[in-house]
Parts: sequence; structure tokens; C-alpha cells
Amino acid sequence: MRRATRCVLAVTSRRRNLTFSRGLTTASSNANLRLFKIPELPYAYNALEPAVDQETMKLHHTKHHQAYATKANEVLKELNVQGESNSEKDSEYLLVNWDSVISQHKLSKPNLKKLKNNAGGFDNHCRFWKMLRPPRQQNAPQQGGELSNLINEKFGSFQEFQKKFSDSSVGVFGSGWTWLVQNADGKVDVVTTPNQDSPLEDGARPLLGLDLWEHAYYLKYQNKRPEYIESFWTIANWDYAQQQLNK
Amino acid sequence: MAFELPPLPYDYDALEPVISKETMTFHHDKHHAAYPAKLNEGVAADPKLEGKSIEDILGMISTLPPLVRNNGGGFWNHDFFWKIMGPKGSTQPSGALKDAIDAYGGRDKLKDDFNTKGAGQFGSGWAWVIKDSSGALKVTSTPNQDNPLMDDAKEPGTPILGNDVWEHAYYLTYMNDRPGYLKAWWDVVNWDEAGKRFDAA
Repeated sequence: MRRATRCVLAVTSRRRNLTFSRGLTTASSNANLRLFKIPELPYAYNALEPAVDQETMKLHHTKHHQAYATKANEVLKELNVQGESNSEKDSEYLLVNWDSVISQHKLSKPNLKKLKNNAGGFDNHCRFWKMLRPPRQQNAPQQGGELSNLINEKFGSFQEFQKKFSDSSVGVFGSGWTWLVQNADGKVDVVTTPNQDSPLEDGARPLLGLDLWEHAYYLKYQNKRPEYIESFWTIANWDYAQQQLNK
Repeated sequence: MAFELPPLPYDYDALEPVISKETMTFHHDKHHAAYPAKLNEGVAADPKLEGKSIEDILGMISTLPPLVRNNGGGFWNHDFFWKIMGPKGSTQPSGALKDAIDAYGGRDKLKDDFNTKGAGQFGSGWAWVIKDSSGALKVTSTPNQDNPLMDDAKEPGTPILGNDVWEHAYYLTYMNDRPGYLKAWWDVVNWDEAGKRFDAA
């Protein structure tokens, strides 16, 4: 009897987007949430050598990325979230609709922070692996293609874009990311986010990103962040960036 | 009077095996070294900062630009950090500090709370034991190179102990295992120096 009632309430809430004031967790408010599972890398751990070393890739994927998923799931489990997903579609939904999703649940301040930080970390890294590719020389977006044109429009030239991206990356103090994003108006820009914040939260679509947390480069580069940034240009996945346009 | 990189109070391998010689070399000679140079740049650009001590600057930091905040904080924090550490197992808490630790709930509780704060500081930052305005010990944490001496500190107080939880402080040895680093770090705490600072605060 109780189960049937809950189903009726769930259907009603989906149609009318009700919020349950008694803090009950309903199936509908979790409809777009799934537990996070880290995806496989699209290449071998040593595929990004010499730009990023194998040991860093292994730790970064199996320890850091995994920890974000695990910690986010600890909070999601408290919300009775069901099912599992290794795609950033679900984390994107959560980050883009953060205010409305969390208004349907009663989470403590520490748990809100824990979910936000770790969902951000999970999402950022899902994209990051795809934003990188095995190194190649003269790595750049297709000349005359849409992305290349957008970059030239905004920055003047590809070289000027690279300088802006590199300078921003050097300037990120503490932990964070530099991103090439496409904004809602269709134009591209270079932005930075602190810690595991995502450009999705500001309505921007991430096209390329560079993880500037020290764990992303310390084993090979130590304090030499500018060298790590330089190496990024050989492994940036312009095909992925192009694909993400207008999504 | 420009700010200068202070030397380590001991050899680069003095904190082995808790903190490796390699980490100490990068941490002092590269990371810490970058802060005074940029701090001096920021000070030179602002006439009202001329001749001020680093503590004075931290005391008005909320009015100053990120260049001064980040590098002033980094400069002070690392100078403090080297001083409140020493070779493994060479000191124990005593005197007024020992009493304050007992009043806090004991050494194990202090360690646990500190390690929890340190592990929970998302991104880069520091964990601190401070003496607050009531004279009691408190455990806090700050992001990036902020510290409890800053005039806009959420939990102000005099630092007695502090641990750097930026990844560069531990990654070469501990990698992702920040909790392991936090646990091991207590072996290199210089309780004599901490006691002196507690008494002076």
C-alpha cells in the first residue's frame, strides 16, 4: 500500500515538479542521478608519454579519480540513489541543476560540500581523459574548421590563444583547472576554476581542460608547472574539442 | 628591506624518513623560494607597505591584492613550517603547552582533529593548531596560502603548529595518501618550538 502511494506521489511530482517539504526522498527527485563509476581510459596508461608519465596516469585515474567517485557516492547513497553510470551525463545533470536537485533533499552543509566537490572532481576527470590523446607534433584544431575560426575570432590567432591559456594556467594559484569553453552565446573563451569547480556551473561547455592540481604533474615535473603546460599542447585532443561544440 | 628566503634550520635529510631529502629540497629551494621574490614585487608596488614586517602585512591583508596575499602568506607559512619541525622523536610537549593539550582533550584527540581537518581541506591549504584569544588550543584549516594571522581569517589565532597539505609537500613519497602523510608528520613536530610560541602568544 505504502509503495503504491509513493509511486503515485513520484509520478505527480515529475509532472508538477513538487518539492516535498517533509524531506522525503522520492524516486522522481533521483530520476537523473546515478552512482558514479569511473570510466576506462581511452588509451593505455603510457600512451601520453613523454608529456604525462605512466605512473602519474595510473595514480591519477585509479586513485584520485576513483576517490572522487567513491566520496560522491557516499553522499548519493544516503539519498537512496540507484543504478550506476560511468558517463559524465549524470554528473553534468547534477552540476548544471545543482540548486534544484539539492532543494529536493535535506543534506547537511558538510555533505553538500562533499557531494559538490567530489561530483565536480568525477565530472572533470571523465572529460579530462577524453580531452587528451597520444602526443603528436603540430597538434592544432583543423584549419578553417569551426573551432579554429571561433578561436581566431576571440583571440586573434591560435598562438595568441595558446599564450592566454598557458599564462592562465601558470597563474592558477593552489589547485584548479584552466579550460577552453564555449559559452551560451556560441563564442569560446579561456577560463579557470578553483579546486574541482566546473565551467558547467556557469553555463559554459568545456571543450578542453588542463588539470593544474599538483598531483597531475608533480612526479615528473615537480615545481616546473610551465614545462607541464608546454607538454599539454602535444596531447590536447582537438577532435574531442571540435565534437563538443554546440552541444 | 626586502624579504629573503630563510635557510632551513637543519639539513635537507634531517626529517627523513617522514619527509624525504628530495621533498625538502624542492619544497624549500623551489616552492618557498618563489614566495619572497614575488612578495617583494608586490611590496615595491605599494608605498604604504614599505618597511612593514610580514606580520603587519598579514594583519592588513584583506586590503591587499592577491599577489601580496598569496606570496606573503606563502612566505610566512613556510618559514614557520621549517621551524616547528625537527628530527624525528627529539622533543615532547611540556609546560603550559602540555597543560593546554590536556585541556583540549589530550594529544591523541588533538592529532585526530588536526589530521581530519588536514585531510578535509579540499585542494591546497594548511592545517593549524592555534592559540585563540581565550588562550585555548584550537584546530583549524585554511585554503591555499592563507593563515590564521590574516585579518580576515575565519578562525583567527596564533599558529602553534601547522602542516602544509599542498600536494607538493608530500606527493613524491606519499602520492595520493594524504592521510598517511598527516599521520606520519607528528614524528617530526618540534614541541620545544611549539611550546615557545604558545608561551609568547
